[in-house]
Amino acid sequence: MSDVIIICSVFIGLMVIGVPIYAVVGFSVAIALHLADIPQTMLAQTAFTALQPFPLLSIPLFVLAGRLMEKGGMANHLIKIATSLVGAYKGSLGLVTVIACAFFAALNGSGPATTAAVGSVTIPTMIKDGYSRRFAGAVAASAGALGSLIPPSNLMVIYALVAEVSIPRMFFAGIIPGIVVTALLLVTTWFIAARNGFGGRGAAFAIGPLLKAMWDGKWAMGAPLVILGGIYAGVFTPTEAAGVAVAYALFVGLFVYKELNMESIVEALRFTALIAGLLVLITPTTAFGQVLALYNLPEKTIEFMGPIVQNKWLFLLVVGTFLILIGTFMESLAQIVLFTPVLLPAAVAAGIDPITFGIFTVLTCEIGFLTPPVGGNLFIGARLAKASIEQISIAVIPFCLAYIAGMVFVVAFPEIVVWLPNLIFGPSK
Amino acid sequence: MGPSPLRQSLSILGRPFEEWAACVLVAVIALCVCLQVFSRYVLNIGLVWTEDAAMFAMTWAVYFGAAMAVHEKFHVRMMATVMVLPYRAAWFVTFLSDLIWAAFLVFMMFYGWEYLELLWRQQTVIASMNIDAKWIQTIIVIGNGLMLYRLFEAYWFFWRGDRKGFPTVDNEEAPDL
Repeated sequence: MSDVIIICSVFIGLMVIGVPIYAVVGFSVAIALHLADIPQTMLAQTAFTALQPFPLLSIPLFVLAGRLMEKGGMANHLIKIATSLVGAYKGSLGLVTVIACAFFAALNGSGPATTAAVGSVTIPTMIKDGYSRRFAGAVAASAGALGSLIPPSNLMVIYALVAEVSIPRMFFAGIIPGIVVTALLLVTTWFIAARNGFGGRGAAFAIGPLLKAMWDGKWAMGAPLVILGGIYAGVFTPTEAAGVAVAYALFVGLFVYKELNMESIVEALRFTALIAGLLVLITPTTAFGQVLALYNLPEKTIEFMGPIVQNKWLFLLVVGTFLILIGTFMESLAQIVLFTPVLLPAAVAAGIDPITFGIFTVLTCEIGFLTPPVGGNLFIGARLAKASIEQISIAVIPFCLAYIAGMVFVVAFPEIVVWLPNLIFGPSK
Repeated sequence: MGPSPLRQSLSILGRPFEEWAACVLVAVIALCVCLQVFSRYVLNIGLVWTEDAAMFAMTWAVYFGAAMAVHEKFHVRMMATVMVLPYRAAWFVTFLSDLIWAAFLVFMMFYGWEYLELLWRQQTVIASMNIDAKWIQTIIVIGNGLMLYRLFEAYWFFWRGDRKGFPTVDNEEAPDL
């Protein structure tokens, strides 16, 4: 037991003084290996093999595809469709932002990227139309988080790899919660906008302009069909679908919308390389998982939680609160990689299936996107709206409640969450 | 974060060479995966080497990207607790954590090398590409070494530059997936 205390102290100590998490995990594993008399070359070996799973390749590819789709004009076409879909309501531009984010989320797998793609267009428009900066930034930041819930999703790929569940199942499990949260965000947006008298001008809804926008944006609308349709039909693995998404984005951006050029392609590659660099974080985690198992930490966690594990609701209340708190000051990649191996066995013991727990975890990460001090979407929303982090982080609270309501939905109706993946891929074992 | 007044060493066309390398490798991943899909579904032939090549490109891209992330101040680290301190104290704690990071990189280079020596005693040829796996695994030493180099360089630039802010931490936007 004292070994565990030493390792945990090192882990927490290094984390708190701001050592990069890559080195924190690596050092803790090295100490654990030393205490257990296992050669350190194991760490060197996993430093290579941890990056080998083929599904992991889908992350840089989805990032690249998303960036190419943003720069190649697809985001703009989706915003046009959303605009003609909404018409002249109170807060219509806010509603447009939410719907466009939900659409763009179906093209790319990242929350912050969705906020950037849609927000860079809709936030300035909202401010010009008399919406407050706070509200404009908060809507785009919170709706952008849908990027991680509506498939494809980078966080789901990471979760699926750590939890050893199927990525396609995770993707399809995200669809219904994604629609529910979108609806909740729309209601929240409308309610706040109506109370503040934002917007309400612009063209009323008419079927003609909508059909025209949809026709103009057919290539953008087609992307999710290619990505998800291919996975759905069992034609593509997630990585292959991501590769096809890159090819599709290049084709449409170069030859249909003609908005891509060499410079933007190199920029997209560079951005992708930087995001790929973040994944160095997972290199010591395979060894980390083995160390956790060696010291029986998952069992000890269940033991430690005692009666909490007996009650599903109590368990998810405690774990959800914990994950949301952790998510406020830790990036979601690290959060999923570090806590899933410890908490998932406890969740299973509490009678929650791994897919549902995955959606639940992703939702806690999304709230993490929206809370200071470490919130990817919050910073992008604040920068685009030229408002302070403090202002946006307060304005975003009602939208966080929408995500929490989404978490309650997932907990209350797990059978609805897994209904779609079970329908498509058959009941899970 | 403004442009650094000092030019990065080991650069090509004004950018660190690992940036170009990582960009090419990302393109290679995309190309290999697309080629695999194309050959399987259009030409009806299964290529084996595309999957291996894509995975190796991935590994190298991640380490080069991680080296990029050092000078872009983009590494995932928990700064919330450090940034509540006054500037000087926060700077010192960051310096301390960077020293620990550097020590870890040296440690990884050392054991990476030891691991490579083990591999060197045997031959593990990857049949689909007809190359020895150990060459590909040298990235453990190269990647960690490059990160260490960029880490030193960040402090060197800080020392030679205006000495404002932090050499390795942005203190602003958080990177996330």
